[in-house]
Amino acid sequence: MKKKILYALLGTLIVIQFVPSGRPDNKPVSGSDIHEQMNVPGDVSTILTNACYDCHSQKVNYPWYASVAPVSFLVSSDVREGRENLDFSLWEKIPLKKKLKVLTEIGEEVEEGDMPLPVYPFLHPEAKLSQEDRELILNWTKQASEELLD
Amino acid sequence: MNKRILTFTIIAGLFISLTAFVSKNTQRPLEKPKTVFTIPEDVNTIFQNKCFDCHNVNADGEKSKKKLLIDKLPTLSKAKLIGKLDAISEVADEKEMPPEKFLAKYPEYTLTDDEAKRLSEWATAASDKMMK
Ligand code: HEC
Ligand code: HEC
Repeated sequence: MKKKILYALLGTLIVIQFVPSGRPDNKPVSGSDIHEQMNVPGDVSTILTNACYDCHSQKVNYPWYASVAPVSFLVSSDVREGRENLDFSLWEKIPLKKKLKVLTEIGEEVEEGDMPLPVYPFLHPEAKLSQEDRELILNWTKQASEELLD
Repeated sequence: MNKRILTFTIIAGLFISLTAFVSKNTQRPLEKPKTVFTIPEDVNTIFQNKCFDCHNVNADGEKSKKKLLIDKLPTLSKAKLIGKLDAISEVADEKEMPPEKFLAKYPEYTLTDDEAKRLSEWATAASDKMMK
């Protein structure tokens, strides 16, 4: 009985490998990343790149296990939804008011510890943000907003 | 004669520095105008009837409070205020608020087409004005 369940599970695992995960490709547009559009200090850039770019950019680094179902389904949907909310690589295309909205939201999410998504730092320890990191990001979002309004 | 010139110069000097002082003082508030943000009566009625329960500092839900506190709007920085107004016009255009799940229970909270239009137009115009 136990063996049957095990086989069934293994079988399912193999079968779902053939279901396409619809993994979103990276399609960067030259010159339009926030790094090319705004002043992003080095320490802020490191945090954004390590903790956010895997879901909120066109520079997603997919690790090997992101190709294995069912993890691939989760990763794909995080990237798709993440980019819909905020895509640092397509910053140029975001209208000015939306940029102000998004910068405010970045501050809120990071301040509350809601971003990066809590699962992420388990597999990417460099994405774990310290209190200092959070403050850096929060202050930068305020500066960047002022810069946009000038 | 010399005394007259001296007195004249002193008085003129005082006068000039006085005007400079006065004009500097009256100009200072003009340099950094405080954004006076007020919500028109009809918009406020919509907020009170359809939104305020979830989006005020004393509301229950943490999520809705993190996103928008209507009673705190006037205290926000200009940049944040523009951002929040943009979010309001967005949810009004898409009729994303109040949340669908909530409306299933309390359909009387649904935004009418007119209310959604008014909210969106107001939020757009108010933020446009602030960006000038
Ligand atoms: C593992 C993927 C992942 C990582 C890493 C990640 N995000 Fe997100 N992010 C998402 C997803 C998915 C959503 C949309 C769903 C949601 O709001 O939970 C989102 C939503 C957002 C939003 C919009 C929230 C709103 O108000 O609607 C912001 C802002 C944001 N993320 C900022 C960040 C920042 C800043 C970082 C890095 C510090 C980051 N995210 C890291 C997946 C991620
Ligand atoms: C039943 C409670 C409730 C009511 C009523 C309600 N909201 Fe919300 N609102 C929420 C919640 C919960 C969220 C957070 C949703 C999320 O994060 O997915 C939210 C989020 C928002 C956001 C942020 C959206 C974003 O992602 O940027 C705005 C703007 C907003 N509401 C405006 C309004 C307006 C305008 C009204 C009235 C027409 C309203 N809400 C009525 C609960 C409510």
